[in-house]
Amino acid sequence: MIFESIKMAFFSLKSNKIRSILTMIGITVGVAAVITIVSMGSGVQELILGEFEQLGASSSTISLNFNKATDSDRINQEDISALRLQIQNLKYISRPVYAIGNYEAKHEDHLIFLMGVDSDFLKMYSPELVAGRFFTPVEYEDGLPSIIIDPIVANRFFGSAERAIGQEVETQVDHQILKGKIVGVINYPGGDLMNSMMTSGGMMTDEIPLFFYTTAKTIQHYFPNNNSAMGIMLMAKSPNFIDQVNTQAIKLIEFRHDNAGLGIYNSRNMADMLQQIEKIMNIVTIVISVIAAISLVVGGIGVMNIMLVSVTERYREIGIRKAIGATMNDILIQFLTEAIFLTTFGGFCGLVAGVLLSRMVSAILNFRVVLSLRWIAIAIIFSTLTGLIFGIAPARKAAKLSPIDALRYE
Amino acid sequence: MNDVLIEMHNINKTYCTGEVEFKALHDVDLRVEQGEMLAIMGPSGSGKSTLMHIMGLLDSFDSGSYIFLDQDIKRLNSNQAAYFRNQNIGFVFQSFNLLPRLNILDNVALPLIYAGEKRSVRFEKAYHVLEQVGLADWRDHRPSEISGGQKQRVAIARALVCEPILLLADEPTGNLDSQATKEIMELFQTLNQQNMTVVIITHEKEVAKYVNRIIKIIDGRVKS
Repeated sequence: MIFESIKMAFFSLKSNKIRSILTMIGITVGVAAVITIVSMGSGVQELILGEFEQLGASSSTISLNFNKATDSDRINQEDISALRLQIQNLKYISRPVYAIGNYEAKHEDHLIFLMGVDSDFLKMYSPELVAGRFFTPVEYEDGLPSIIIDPIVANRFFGSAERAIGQEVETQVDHQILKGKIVGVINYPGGDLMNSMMTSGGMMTDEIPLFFYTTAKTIQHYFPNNNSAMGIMLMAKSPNFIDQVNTQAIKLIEFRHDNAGLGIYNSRNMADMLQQIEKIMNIVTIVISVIAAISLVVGGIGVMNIMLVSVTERYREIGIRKAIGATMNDILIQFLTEAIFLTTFGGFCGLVAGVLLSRMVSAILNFRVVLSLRWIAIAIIFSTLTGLIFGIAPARKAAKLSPIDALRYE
Repeated sequence: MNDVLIEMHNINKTYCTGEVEFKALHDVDLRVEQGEMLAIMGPSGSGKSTLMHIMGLLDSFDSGSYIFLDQDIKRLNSNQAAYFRNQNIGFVFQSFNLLPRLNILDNVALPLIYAGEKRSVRFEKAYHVLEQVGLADWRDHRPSEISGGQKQRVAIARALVCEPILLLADEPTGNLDSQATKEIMELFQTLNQQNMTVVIITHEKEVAKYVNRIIKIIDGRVKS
């Protein structure tokens, strides 16, 4: 009987093709929009979470509050040495520096972001080595002009990571020149995030700085006037110690700079950030759900409207069916099936459209979209429910018709 | 031939349309035996259609008793009545009442869906009754593609497909020309000879000559 009802519903909807399609579109558009937003949102979420997971739950950053800080508050190399000696359960501590300059290649100037790292920095983030090698202890110690780049830069200027190794590059920061040699190509874990955020900005493609890495000492040595610290990064021996390590580190730094209680130093650890991101994502999910609910209600009202019209148009058919033996339930199920068929099929089309649309967005903006099975199930279940909820009133109206009234109706 | 099929006693039916009450049936007694071919005649507004609807379990009645094959009809709820109709009564209407979007075979097979028959059985039975009324070759056509007489034969096939005991026809020839009327009435006669009970509601004298018994109804009362 169920199979029979579905076939009957399909048949009757098919004979009113345009009307059925128009009714369906209400549901389809709603579901497609939601699926697209959700899969893009999940894509962004996965990207961000992925980056953070790589950075690890046991690390944190301490940076200067630039509104309040003066030059004397800056965390220096001596602070780092002191922290390393005095803080228990501290595994790694890093104080990367950077300089912004340019790199001339193929007769064009390119903006570069030259990052000076120390040995702990690479240990903390354990980037993937694509070609060549990391810096050696001697390079860290003596500040030798060795350069590491990422695969994007390598491919762009040298064709491949392998070919980049050993190449001489000349970078310039404020008329000071650093001639360096490329020793390695690494996939910096934060690089993907940074790059995709910048490329999805679209227009500013030309302005995206290229990432070059060298040692912190090298930057201090070659560009003594142009180095800026980004703050420091800490990693505890386990996630349990990170809060303790963090607090002690800030206390010690404040003690050394005699600025306790002024709120000069900001600290964030990954667990906090993850929590914040999850909070934001939850809000996004709620907003999407509300949009989805509204669009389904609007679509559902359309379905209800058209089903009521359909019942009125088919009084005679209902009368005939009742006369030859259809029970109230038979008629109820017939009309309910039609409504559910409309919304479920509409929802399915919306799902397909949403998947295609998010794939397109993914291809254009060059980032991965994620569609979980959960959302597919939710889309289908809720569009089916919409049909059930908004189909029940017209179906009941049809089922309750008395056979002679229905037969008499012209 | 003497088994009683229908036994109606003191049936009353009043319609209320707003303020106005209209007494459609007034203490109607009616007895139909199995294998009979019966015409219920009367002018329009006489209550014959109401009687037919009550007889066919399409409408309720206010008072009186109605026994159909030992079944007290008053005790049936609407679902039971639907199944009872499906199994025991075949309807033929003046305006044919075929579903325009279904083809002939699907139209004839429709009651079997509500009887819960399997698809293969449905089409086999529907084909068989279509053959009986001589329209098996038209099974793939739509109702709009055949003549009035043919439509009524399809409707009769549909009425027969559940192998009912009673064939209830409401002005079956009202929309037909005299040639088609003759054919349809002869078909009813043939069916009656195969022991089908046939009750025809009509106001055409033409039709009356094909039946064994005539019941006249005027102003909601039976005059036989």
